[in-house]
Amino acid sequence: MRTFLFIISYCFALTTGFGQQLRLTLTHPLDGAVYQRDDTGWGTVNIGGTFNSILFKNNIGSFVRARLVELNVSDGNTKPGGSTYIIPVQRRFLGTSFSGSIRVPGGWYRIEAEAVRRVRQAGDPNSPPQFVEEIIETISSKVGIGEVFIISGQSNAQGLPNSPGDVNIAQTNLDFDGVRMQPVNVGPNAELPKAFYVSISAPTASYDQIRSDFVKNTVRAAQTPTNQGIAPTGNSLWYWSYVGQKLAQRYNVPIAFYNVAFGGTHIKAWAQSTDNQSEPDGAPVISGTNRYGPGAPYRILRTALRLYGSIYGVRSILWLQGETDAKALNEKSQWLDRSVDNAEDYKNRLQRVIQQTRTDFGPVPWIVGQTSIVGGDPNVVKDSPISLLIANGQSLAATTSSSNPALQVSVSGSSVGSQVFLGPNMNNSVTVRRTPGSGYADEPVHSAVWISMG
Amino acid sequence: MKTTMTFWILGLLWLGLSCKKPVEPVVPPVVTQPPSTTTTPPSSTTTTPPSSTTTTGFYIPTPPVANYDNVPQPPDGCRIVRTVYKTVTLIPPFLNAETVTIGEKTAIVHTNTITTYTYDRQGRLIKDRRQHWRGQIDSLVYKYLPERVWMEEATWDYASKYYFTRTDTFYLDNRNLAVRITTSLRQGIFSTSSYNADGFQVKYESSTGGTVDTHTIKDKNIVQQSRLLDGGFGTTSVRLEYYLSRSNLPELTQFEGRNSQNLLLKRVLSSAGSLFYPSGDVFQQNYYYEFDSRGRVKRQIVYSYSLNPGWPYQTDSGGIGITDFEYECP
Repeated sequence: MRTFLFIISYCFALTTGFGQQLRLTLTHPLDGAVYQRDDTGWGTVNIGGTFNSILFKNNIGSFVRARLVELNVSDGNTKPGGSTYIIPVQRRFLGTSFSGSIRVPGGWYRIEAEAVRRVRQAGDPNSPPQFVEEIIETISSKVGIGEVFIISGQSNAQGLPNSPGDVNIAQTNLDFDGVRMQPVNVGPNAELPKAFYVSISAPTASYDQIRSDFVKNTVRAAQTPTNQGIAPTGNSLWYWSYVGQKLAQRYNVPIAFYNVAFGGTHIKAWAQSTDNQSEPDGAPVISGTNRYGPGAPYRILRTALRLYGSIYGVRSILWLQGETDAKALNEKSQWLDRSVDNAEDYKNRLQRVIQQTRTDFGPVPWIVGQTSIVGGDPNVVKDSPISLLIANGQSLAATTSSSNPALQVSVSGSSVGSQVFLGPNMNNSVTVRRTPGSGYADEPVHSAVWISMG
Repeated sequence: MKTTMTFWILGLLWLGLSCKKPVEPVVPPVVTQPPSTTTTPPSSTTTTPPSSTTTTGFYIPTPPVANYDNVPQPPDGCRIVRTVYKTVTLIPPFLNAETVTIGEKTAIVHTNTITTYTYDRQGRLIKDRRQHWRGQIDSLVYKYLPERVWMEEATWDYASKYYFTRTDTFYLDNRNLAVRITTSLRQGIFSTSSYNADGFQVKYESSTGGTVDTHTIKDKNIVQQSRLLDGGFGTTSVRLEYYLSRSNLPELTQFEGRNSQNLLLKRVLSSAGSLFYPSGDVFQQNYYYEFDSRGRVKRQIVYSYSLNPGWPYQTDSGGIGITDFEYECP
């Protein structure tokens, strides 16, 4: 009999989690995640989590509730007079997990989730039982319905190392809560340069790390330490934190960036690598063969679209690339297989890349910036034939997209055009340049061009 | 009854204190922890063979050691007339598959490029014809004139109807070494070269200043090649090591300077001052050889790998490049 009772008590303890600390956890969304709002300006916040209570599991007097509290986009504090939305929470049948979903206007929110236990109040045993709610644990995290961008191109979009809000780029207060980017911190070892944690030639090798790191490290721009970049390849915050701040101020919604730009890439490599098996010529950094790995550099854009884009949505790809093509045209011999023939050639190749993103992801809009000035060379200065040729190619990629049948986009059966827009011309709006000397290219860097796209 | 109660209390206490639940924890990892600078190494590091080395968690293979001391020296005056280059092929057609094992790496290679070389009576290269596995043909024709050499390149691809030509002119000095090179691709652009007393090229510079090569020569071997590319690329240098008791492959052309006198064993690329690439050693190529009965290189095998995951480039697909040589000898 005693043995029987012992076995019963043992099994009881196993099934109840006796002695285990109760813990409420939000598994998603990730803290600080920003989801792309839709055309109505609204979006859906889905939450999920666990509460490891046997009472919750068996639906006995314990539950989880959650709400969204509207925040200031600027400082992340509760917005005076802001809205609060109750999130309907469903418990998974006989499980410790829960989920909820609510559609809300674009904005910056705090999710407040509470694990609650209903406790019977002592009283008259002849009266109906009275219960009070006892909050076991409260957790919170931030989530946004706003604008999500994927940055692509070359170094002027990727950013230089050690330039978090570089004084030459954007003198601004970076402490803006509603601008979010995942720091580049997905690699195995902190001693390596941050930008190179993700190999451009084999980004899928770090696919799982990108995913897990995003889970852990979504932080606002001001919290990213020096030399922290924008995942997966951004070298630094560059001017994007400033762009994000201006966009957030203009639209009063949070902004998120991902960066897949890679320095020194040329448009032929981007276009050729839309074939995942191709190995395009790289920059002729040394005599002889020098090629990207299979599918690079486009591969990392594809990966970002499928990973980040499929989860958070994308407002647009921001394209800024062309300096290397200008250099290739100027040098010619060393860059023989890398240089475009003319503006039409650049246009065709960029439109090939755009088309491939639609195949890989869907009708994602593009904003094509113009840039083609290479520092230190009188042949590739502002308004030189070469810089004009490349800038013209970038312009053509956008302006002729409406006549390219392969780029036409339909939404719910209705044509909405090519969704390829011309960004401002950096060559014409230069007020700030990269620092000349010390190996830095004296090229235009101007965040305002992106800000004006709004 | 009292005994039973005591048993229950003691049993439950025992369970709670010393017999934790032997099951998976209910709670998944917390998602809101702050940024971490130490993350789990990639799974690839766990499969690193014991003989290999790892630097900062990145896999670096251990190259096998070559010993060619017992191979006879090749005869003088031989010329390369045909090479077949094989490498890992990702895009069909897959021609002449061959399985190759180098050290700890095994790969299937296919024929990539067949090159034939034609010489004039003076032993000067006059044609270099390369047929690529997908049908593209490159032809380089050399014409030797007093004080200059013309190189006419033509590329055509039947499948894509791609056709391309250019003519480079090499202006020679009194040692018949090219000191100024112009190209038909762009008027007004040229490059210059200079040589040491032994005829090795020591500097190459484009007139734009955008490309500057410098070569370091030691004991008639090029031991370092450096290239400075402006526009943020920085300087990429190659350190070269040789098998000092064996002579190099025959030279193809003479007017661009002498080749190293010994057989190449290793190239290590390093990058410095780049805005795009990591600094330090980034890439390595190891060279291995097979010889015929006369001591001529029958096969050259290049095994290459990145030393830093941030280096975006490769030389041979899949890190394997094989070249088979055919010769004509006096």
